[in-house]
Amino acid sequence: MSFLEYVEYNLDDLVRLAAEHLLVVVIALLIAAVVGVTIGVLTWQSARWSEVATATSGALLTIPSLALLALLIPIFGLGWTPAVIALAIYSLLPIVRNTVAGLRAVDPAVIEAASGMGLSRRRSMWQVQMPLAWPVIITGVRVSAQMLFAIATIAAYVAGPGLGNEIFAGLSRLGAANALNKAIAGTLGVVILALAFDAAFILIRRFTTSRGLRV
Amino acid sequence: MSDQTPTLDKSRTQLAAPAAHGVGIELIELTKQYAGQRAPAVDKVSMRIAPGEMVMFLGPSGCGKTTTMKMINRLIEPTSGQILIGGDDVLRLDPSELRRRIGYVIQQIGLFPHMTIAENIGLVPRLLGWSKSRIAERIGELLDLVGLDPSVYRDRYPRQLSGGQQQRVGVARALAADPPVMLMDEPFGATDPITREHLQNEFKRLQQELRKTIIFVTHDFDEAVRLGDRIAVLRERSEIAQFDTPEKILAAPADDYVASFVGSAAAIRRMGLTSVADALRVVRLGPVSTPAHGITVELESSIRDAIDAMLRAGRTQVDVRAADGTLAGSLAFDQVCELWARAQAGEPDVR
Repeated sequence: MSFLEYVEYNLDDLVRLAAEHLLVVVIALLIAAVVGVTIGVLTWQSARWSEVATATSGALLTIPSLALLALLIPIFGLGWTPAVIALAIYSLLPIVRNTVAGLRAVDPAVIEAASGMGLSRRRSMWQVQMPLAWPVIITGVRVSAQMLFAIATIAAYVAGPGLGNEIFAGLSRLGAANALNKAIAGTLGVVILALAFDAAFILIRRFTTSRGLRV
Repeated sequence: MSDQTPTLDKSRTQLAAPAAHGVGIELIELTKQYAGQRAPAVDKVSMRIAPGEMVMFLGPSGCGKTTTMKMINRLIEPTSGQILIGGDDVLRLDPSELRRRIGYVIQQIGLFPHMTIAENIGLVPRLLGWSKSRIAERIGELLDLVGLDPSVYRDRYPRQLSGGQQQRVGVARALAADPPVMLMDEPFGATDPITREHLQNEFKRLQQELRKTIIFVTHDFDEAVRLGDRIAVLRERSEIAQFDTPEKILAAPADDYVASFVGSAAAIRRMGLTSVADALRVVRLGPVSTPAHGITVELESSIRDAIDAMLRAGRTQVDVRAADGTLAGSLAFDQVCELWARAQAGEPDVR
C-alpha cells in the first residue's frame, strides 16, 4: 500500500492521535506557563534568584527524556500524567528566562511613574509591567511549544497519548508491511502540528499584545 | 507632528468640579540615612511651603533634592522627621492612597506605552472609582488644558506623540484627579530648548490658574527663576543655602555657593523678571522721543528686553508702546539704573 493510501485508510486513527498529541502539548504548556511566569515574576528583581531559577530550569532540560519519564513512572504511574508533567518540566526554561528578560526590559521610568501615581506593586505588575513584558513572555511560550511537539513523541513510551505511538509502532516493526508508512505518517504529523501551532502563535501574540506596543 | 504653541481656551480651563487649589506642605527635620553610608543623603531639612505656592528645589545632581522630593510621596521612606500636607501627617497614610492625591511628573515622563492617551490620563480617576462619564469628561478637559485636541489625541498611543506632546500628557495625567499637591522632577529636562521654553511658559500660565502647591526639582537656574514663586537653593545633603524669591536671590545671593548658581549677568537676569509696567511703580516714563526713531518695547516687555533694544539701536532710550498700540512714553537707561539701585536696596515696590 502506498503512503497516501495508508494515510487515507488510517485517517481516523491518525487524526485521533494528532488531537491527543496537540492536547498533551497544550495542557503541559498551560501548566508550564502558569508555573514559569510565576517563577519569573517572583525572581526577576533579584539577580541571584533569577539566576537560580533559570539555571535550575536549564538543568531540568538536560535530563534525558526517557530517564525523566522513567523517574516519573513510580510516582505517577503510566499514561497521560507522567507525560504532561515531563513536558511541563521541559518547557520551563524558555518561559522562565523570557519572563525574567521581559520584566527586566520594562522601562524603569514607567514603573516609577506607576508607583508614583499610586498603583500598588501588585496592580503595577498586572496592569503595567506584565502587559509590557508580554510580547517577550509569549515568545518564550512559543519556543517551548516548538520543542514540546517533538519531545511529546516520547510519551508513547509510558503508554501516553499522541503520534509517538504511531512512530514507535512503525519503528519497532521495520520491514513489516506499512511499518515505514506508520513511522513517516507519525513524524510528518508532528511536523505539521508544530508548524500549524507556530503559525497560530503569531496570531495569538498579535491579539494579546497592545496596539500601543506595535505602533 | 509639530509642537505648536497651544492656545489656552479660558472657558474650558474652568474645571467642572471646583478645582482643588493647593494646600500647605511642611517638612520638619526630614532626614534620609541610607544603610552603609556615613553621611545622610538628606540631613534635617525643614521648610514650610504655602498653599498654592510653586517652590523650586535647585541644586547640582547628587545634592539630595530628588531624594527630598520623593520622601514627600514616600517613594523613598524617610529615616526620621515629619511631613505634613494640609496638616495631615503623611507617614501615617497608606502610601498608594497618598500618591493618588499627589500629582507626580518625572523627566522620563513614564507614560504607559500600552495604554492610549485617554487610558493613561484616566488611570488614577479609575482607581479612585470615578464614573466612566466623569472620567471621559475629565480627559477631554485636561487635554484641552494642556493644548492637545482631544478628538485627535484621545485614542492615540504615547509612541505616536512627540516628546513635548508626551510631556504635556504627563502633566495632564498628574492633574487627572485634581490633586492639591504636585511633585515635578525635572519634568522638562529631556526636551529640546525651544520645546522646553514653550512648556515652561504654558505651565506657568496653567499654574496661575490652578494654584496647586508644587515642588519642582531642577538644576537649571533659569528655569527656577522663570517658574518659581520661591527657590530653595540646596547644597549637599539637601541643606538649604537660601530659600527666597527669585528676585531676592538674584539681587542678593546669600553666599558664594548661591552666587555660583546665579552665575554671570545676574543684574541682567534680574531685570528679566521685571516688566516695564512693574517699573512704572517706581519710575515715571519720559516724553516720547522726538524725532521718533521707532525703537519700542511693549509695556509687558521685561526691562531686560528694553536694555537689549537700547543696545541694538545704540541709544540710551526706548519708547514704550501701551496695549492699545499708542506710545505711552519713553524709558531711559538712567531710569533702569535707578530701578536697579532701588531693587538692590530692597524697596518693596520693586519686583
